[in-house]
Amino acid sequence: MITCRGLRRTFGAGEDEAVALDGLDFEVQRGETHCLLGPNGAGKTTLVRILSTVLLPTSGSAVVNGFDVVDGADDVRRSLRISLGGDRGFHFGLSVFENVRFWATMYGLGWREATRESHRVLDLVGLADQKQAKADDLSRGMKQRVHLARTLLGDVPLLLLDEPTTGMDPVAARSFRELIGDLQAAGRTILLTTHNMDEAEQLADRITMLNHGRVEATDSPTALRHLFADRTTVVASDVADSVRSTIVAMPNVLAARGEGDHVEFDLDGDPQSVLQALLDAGVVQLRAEPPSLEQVYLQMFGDRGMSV
Amino acid sequence: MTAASSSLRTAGTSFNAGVKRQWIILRRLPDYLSFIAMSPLSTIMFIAIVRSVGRDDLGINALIGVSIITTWQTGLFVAGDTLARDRQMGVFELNLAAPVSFRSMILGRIIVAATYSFIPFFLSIGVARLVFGSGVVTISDPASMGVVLLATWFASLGALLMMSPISVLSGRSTAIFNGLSYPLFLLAGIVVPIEFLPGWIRPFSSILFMRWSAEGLRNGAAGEGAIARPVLWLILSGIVMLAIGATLLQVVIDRMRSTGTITNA
Repeated sequence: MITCRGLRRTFGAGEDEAVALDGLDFEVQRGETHCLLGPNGAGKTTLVRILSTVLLPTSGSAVVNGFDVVDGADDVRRSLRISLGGDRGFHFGLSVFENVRFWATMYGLGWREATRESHRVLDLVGLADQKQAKADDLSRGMKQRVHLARTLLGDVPLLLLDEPTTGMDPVAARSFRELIGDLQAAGRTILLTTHNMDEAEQLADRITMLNHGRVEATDSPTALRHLFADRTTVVASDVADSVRSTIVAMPNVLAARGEGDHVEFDLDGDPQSVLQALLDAGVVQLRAEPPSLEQVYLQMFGDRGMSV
Repeated sequence: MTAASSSLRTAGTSFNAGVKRQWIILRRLPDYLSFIAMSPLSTIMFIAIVRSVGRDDLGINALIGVSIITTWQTGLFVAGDTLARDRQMGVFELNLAAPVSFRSMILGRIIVAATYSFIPFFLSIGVARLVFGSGVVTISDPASMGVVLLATWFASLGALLMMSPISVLSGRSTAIFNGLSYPLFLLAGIVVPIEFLPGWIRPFSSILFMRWSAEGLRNGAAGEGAIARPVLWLILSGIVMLAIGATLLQVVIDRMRSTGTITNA
């Protein structure tokens, strides 16, 4: 569904040139839910914008649904819906319903069909009671739902969702994940950017880790968790402070999170010595597991701190 | 369905979307009523000035001059402001990601803005007649005047479309338009006849649609019947400005896609 080869995008020129995408090779299969992860400035949104044709690549190629994003931009636009999320993207003064219906007509639906379809998608995202509210007055989470509703208009094979759950409350975010599940079942291809690791792990068939405009890794969530095979997380319950301190002092323990009822120790290498030490200290509820996606992410990008 | 009919259909759909979206905004936001409210007051002021010096015969000229100014300003403000607000609200890139014509949508919005901008014109005539009586504001040939008005409307469509790239590019288009408008009013001889301008400036007046609009409306009001030339110029200039506007808009869109500045638009 999506194929990028040597995709490069720069902004500015000369000494001020910033490289957003640096020769990116990237693929999304038809029917796949693919998640882009990476720190701020990794190139996720630039990639989404190029795929949606609103930004031209500096070099390289991107093909969406069989059409080149430069030469076949009109066909690409007919193949997809995009949500850029956030507070922007609404027509001032228009209600939620009028905003969505405007976009329905911009997606080529006739007035009656646009009206019917707008009701359908707003009901679907739980905004049945907010249709007449001014879109620009909504909370961030509600606006995200409107963005999502817009992407559900009509029947297109590809959805590009840029941080769709930012600002949503946990209940709404859960509903969003269920909705994505329905779309997956209907065979839609979904490219999703997020900073929410749980969301990525739950939704994605495959995840691509981006950094400095390049692909660091692409694989299934499970495979990515095993990417650092020499890393293990030991999860233990009822750990006394003194025991915790002893474990943290062991040479292969990289970090510890939590205390008392629930402690997680990140280890480098064989977990046997730590497991034995915990058992010797009377801790009986414990298990060793591969690192979480968040830990993989931190392992890959943790050294960046606040830098971009 | 052929490619041509498909393109025509999508252009029609986006045009329709633009018309309806602009119409909703105009009904809902009171900001745009300010020019309509200002127009009759300016008319009264200008006609009162010419009457105070005993030149009742210039009353219709004052009316036409003020009306063209307020019509142009209303059109610019409504079209420019709504496009600039769209820019601030970040909807342009979503428009460009849509599979229908962006330019048709903009044209649909401008047609509504241009039509709306003629309300002050009729309001000014009504108020002037009410305040000063029909003797001061005499319209001898309303049909001719109507034809010139229609041609002016068409030309103003072209002019507004030509200005639209400025609104797309800049978030401060209202200030830019205000700066541009007054030299145009002077050059076009709307209030001050161009005979009073320096000789070397006068040729520039001929390329301004407002000059032909003012001339045609004055002739129509005086019943002199000499409206063919102004109407022809208005239609020609409208066609040229529509073509330039559509081309410039595409150039701006292509440039924004290329430079990435559309992200902020």
